[in-house]
Amino acid sequence: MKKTLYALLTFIVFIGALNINITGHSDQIPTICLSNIETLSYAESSETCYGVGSIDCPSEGIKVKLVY
Amino acid sequence: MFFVLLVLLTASCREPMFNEFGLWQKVEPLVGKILPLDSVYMRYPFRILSSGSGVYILDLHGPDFYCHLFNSQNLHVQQSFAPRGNGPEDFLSAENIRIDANGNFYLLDANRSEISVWSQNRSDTLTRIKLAKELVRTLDFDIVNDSTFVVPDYTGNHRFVIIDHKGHIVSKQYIIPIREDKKQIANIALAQAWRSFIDYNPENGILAMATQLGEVLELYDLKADTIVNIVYGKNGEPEYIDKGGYAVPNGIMGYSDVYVGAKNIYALFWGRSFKEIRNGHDTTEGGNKLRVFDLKGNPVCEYVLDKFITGFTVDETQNKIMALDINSNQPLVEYQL
Repeated sequence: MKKTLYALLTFIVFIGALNINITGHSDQIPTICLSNIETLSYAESSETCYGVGSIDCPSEGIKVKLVY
Repeated sequence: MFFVLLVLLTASCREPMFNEFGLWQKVEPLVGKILPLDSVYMRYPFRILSSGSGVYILDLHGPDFYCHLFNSQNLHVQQSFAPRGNGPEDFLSAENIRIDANGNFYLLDANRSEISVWSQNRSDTLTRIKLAKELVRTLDFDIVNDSTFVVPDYTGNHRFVIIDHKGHIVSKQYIIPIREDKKQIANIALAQAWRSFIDYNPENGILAMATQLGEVLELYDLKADTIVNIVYGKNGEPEYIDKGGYAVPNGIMGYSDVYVGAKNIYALFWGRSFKEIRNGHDTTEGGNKLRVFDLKGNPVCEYVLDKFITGFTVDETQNKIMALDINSNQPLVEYQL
């Protein structure tokens, strides 16, 4: 019974990880994120503003390179 | 009587005139000369002002200070001021800097909704002008005269606002010059998309507004209270997507700085698409096209610079500009026009 439960849990975790991986490739944001690690720390609380630039991000009160 | 009424009606008509320009008749390449600055770390030098003996540079993302003053002869740093921080004397942000005829220095902090004023010796902040709440968020400013400033409108209902030195609204003027076929609801997202950099010359009364997105240069005569020209480039007006009340930029990065001189108007143009920027193919910050218009908005010349710059100032008497190249460790560059 325990073995079945472990197998089921492993399967669910595997499917979950696969799903995250697939959806990650469908969007360009992660590429930007990787190339802007400094940015993320600078605008860590923002979901839509990336990078260091001159575009106003009003929700964060900072200037960024891109707004999504 | 009818004739007088007709004249009055015509004079009060505030429908903007639109003009488009295509290819520049005159395009000239320019090579800059690097002016070695004292070793002050600046993260994103964005605005530059020259005041005879000193050169002021605003660092948009200054790690410790937002402003630095350099000696104009040897370019040694004389003073760093406007500290970044959350304290009562600190600054949360810095948008632009100005100097008045008496040498007083002004800095706009959008996040604190304040314009700070220093006297000529800059020993300490002289005054902090709290801006009216109705302005919502002020992203640029210039000095009109001894008692008023001009700031872009952020509500979308008007184009710019005149405020007094107490931060109170004096008047709201004109509307965002959207073309008839693109009319949309005036709101904050629209104003965000039409975010413009401004410059005013009190001698000739010309106010220039250059859009950060798209390719629109607006000229107003504040003394005559008229629209001089609305000049569209081939990329047209700002493009954006309204996402939950915020404008998400689309289309292109347009103008980055503008200067109204006695003879001409100078505007720095980036012209890069957000598609390129999003794909990470283009990491350069700044533009390399310095456009010159006459005071009526007619294209005169486009200079193609050898460096990409974010801000500049013009010395029309010597036909020189000083510009800021944030992509280099030596950001100060001089161009002979």
